[in-house]
Amino acid sequence: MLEWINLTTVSAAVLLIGMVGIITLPKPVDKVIMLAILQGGFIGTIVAAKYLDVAMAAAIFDPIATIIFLIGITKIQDIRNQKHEEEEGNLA
Amino acid sequence: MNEVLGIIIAAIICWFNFVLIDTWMGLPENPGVKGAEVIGRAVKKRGGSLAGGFFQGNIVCSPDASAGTLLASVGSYAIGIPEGGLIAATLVYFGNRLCADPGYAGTTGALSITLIIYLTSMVGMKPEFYIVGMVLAIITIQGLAHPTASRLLGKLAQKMGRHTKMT
Amino acid sequence: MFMEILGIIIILMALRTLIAQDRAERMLYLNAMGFAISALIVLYIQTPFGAIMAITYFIASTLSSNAIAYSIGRVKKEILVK
Repeated sequence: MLEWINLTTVSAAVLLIGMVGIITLPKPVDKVIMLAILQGGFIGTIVAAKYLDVAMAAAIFDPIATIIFLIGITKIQDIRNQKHEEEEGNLA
Repeated sequence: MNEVLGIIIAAIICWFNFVLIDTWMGLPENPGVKGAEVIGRAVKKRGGSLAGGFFQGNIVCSPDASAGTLLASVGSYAIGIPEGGLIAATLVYFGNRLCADPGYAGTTGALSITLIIYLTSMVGMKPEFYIVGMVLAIITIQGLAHPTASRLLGKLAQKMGRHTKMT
Repeated sequence: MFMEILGIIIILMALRTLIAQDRAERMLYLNAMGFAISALIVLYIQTPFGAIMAITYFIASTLSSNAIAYSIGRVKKEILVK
């Protein structure tokens, strides 16, 4: 009854769930969390095809991509807050 | 040994192994990294205990005794009974240092579960029972109901004298 | 038997991550899903390099969880994407 559950189908389901989350959730940090889920499904798909060295490289480079996204989000927020304060100071 | 019975026994052994070692190493006492404090305060806001929240946050933010238990049983399953656990303990130590943690809890958990697997392999417990049992044990803490689990962990921390002093 | 249990746990945790309300709650479910995926990889491959692969994946996912949890505390009022 449960033979259809193996690494291939589970990874495909996780990929689809992560894709739906990235599209529907509105806030940027939520999008990054769903991207982490999508990375798990992606590595599972590569391992299911037995390309283990490619999966190793993907597993090592995934946190670097996440950290670059997070640096972008925090920096953009800091710069916009700074600009907002400067404009208010000019008005006063 | 019967599979269902073996998984249940392994889950109970793993639960006590990582919860006792993590509490003894002082995970509920203070958040080691900044993200653990954020998660602990969020769990407290939803009706849990602060010490249990710090425990859950520390598990998320760096590989502690829970990760050591899982990875040592993974190594014992695929590489060999004593040497796989030692390789896993070394890699867990590297991961701990990357996350800016002292790294004693992870290696202690990995070494103790390696000893337990070596001793119980004489009565017929296979390492794959411990892999599935560890996933079931972590589900009871991180996956079902966070406020209830954090209150249980806080009560255990108070009994062992490791409750947090922060408010 | 082992793979079916782990697969059901993975899909359940991914769905709970999608429908959770709080942001720190999402991080806890994500960590539980990482545990289960790492176990499923080593049960599928069953060679020494499979074990090294599972350990590397778990530690890398912990690193990215650490970074996300740190920036949850920093980002207070964020810009929505229209």
